[in-house]
Amino acid sequence: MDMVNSFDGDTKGASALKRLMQKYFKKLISGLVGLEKCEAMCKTSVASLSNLLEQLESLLQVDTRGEMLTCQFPDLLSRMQVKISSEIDVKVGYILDQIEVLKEQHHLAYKVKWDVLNLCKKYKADLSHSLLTTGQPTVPPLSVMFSWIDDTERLFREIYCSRQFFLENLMDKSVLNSGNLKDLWLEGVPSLINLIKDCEEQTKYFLEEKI
Amino acid sequence: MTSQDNSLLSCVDSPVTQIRKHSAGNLTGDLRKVKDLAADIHNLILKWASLNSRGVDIITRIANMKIEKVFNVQEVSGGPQPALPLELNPLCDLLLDLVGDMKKIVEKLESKTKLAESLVSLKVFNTSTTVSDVLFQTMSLEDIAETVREICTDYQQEVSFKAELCKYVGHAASRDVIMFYTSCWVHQPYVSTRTCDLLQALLIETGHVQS
Repeated sequence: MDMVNSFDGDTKGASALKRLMQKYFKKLISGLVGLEKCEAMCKTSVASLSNLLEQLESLLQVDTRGEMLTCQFPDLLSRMQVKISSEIDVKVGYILDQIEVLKEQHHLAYKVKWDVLNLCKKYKADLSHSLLTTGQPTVPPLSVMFSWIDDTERLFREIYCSRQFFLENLMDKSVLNSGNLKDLWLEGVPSLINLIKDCEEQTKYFLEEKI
Repeated sequence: MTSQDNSLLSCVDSPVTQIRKHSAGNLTGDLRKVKDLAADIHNLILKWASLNSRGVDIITRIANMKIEKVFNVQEVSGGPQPALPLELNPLCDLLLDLVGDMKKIVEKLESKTKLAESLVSLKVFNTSTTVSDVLFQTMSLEDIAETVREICTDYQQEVSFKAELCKYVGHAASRDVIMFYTSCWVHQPYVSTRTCDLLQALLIETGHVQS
């Protein structure tokens, strides 16, 4: 079967939906390398941030009674607190810049999600249940691709917002500490990257189509 | 505006000290001395930074050894603190030697401060005025001497702190204290960010660094 002709029988609504999804998946997949690179950089920065938090925790837990160095240098603890806190601030600023890519990707996914819903409303008469749920051997059904868009939008949003929350609550022990920061930071990332890789694999032929 | 207009304006004599225009040729006198002084201070601080990072390696090894062979053993046995491992000795000696080298750098910084102060005294002696002209762009000889003095004071404090730190690092009583000592070495609490800014200002002022 010639793939170019596989969509010849599509209705106007189905073609519009497919064009939109094709455009989105192309952007999503092309951003994967950048996303992985950004995640690797973030991982290093977060490890360093976690180390700084650990230093600050040890500083606050040091028993100054009988500790000779702090007796000889009474301003030592306050100076150290200032130094470490300012380094933490710099690091947080840097990480906030790095996670902007997640925000951009979320905006893109969110926009596409709404565009898809609007197209579905616009071409309601054109789109039957079977048209949306029936795929081809090499092309997943539209409903499945729509669920991918929905999932990527949710994952990008969840990861970005939870990271912002962590960075805003660094000093709140009930939220996080130097021990759990690295684990909390990576929550949702493997699922997101797997999902994008899955999309890449399964939409390979769909993205080659001329609709 | 014509050149005639300019000559008319030049008749106005401002009481504010004016920036001296330097020709592209070699500097002489105070200018030459101050420019060389700034370069020497910069080089000394670079040497300090290199010694400090060597110190970070040594103190990290000391901390790891203490945690592994003293605190972990004590946690497992639940008894009193075991004897300090013999391998700590050479590491502490290395750290002491390093602080000796840092002291030499501070001595050199002190001699540079004296040089800057002597230049001011000489200027006052020759001109019998306390207010001197701007040397390069914004700083007078007094400002330069004050900047060098401030830089030197911070490093004097830091080296005396480090010398004390060396005495206690092998005898840290707990994991938190050894972590605290390590971060004290890394963050250099007595070298303020202002000192780094002052050095940068001095380098920009003397034309070693373009602003």
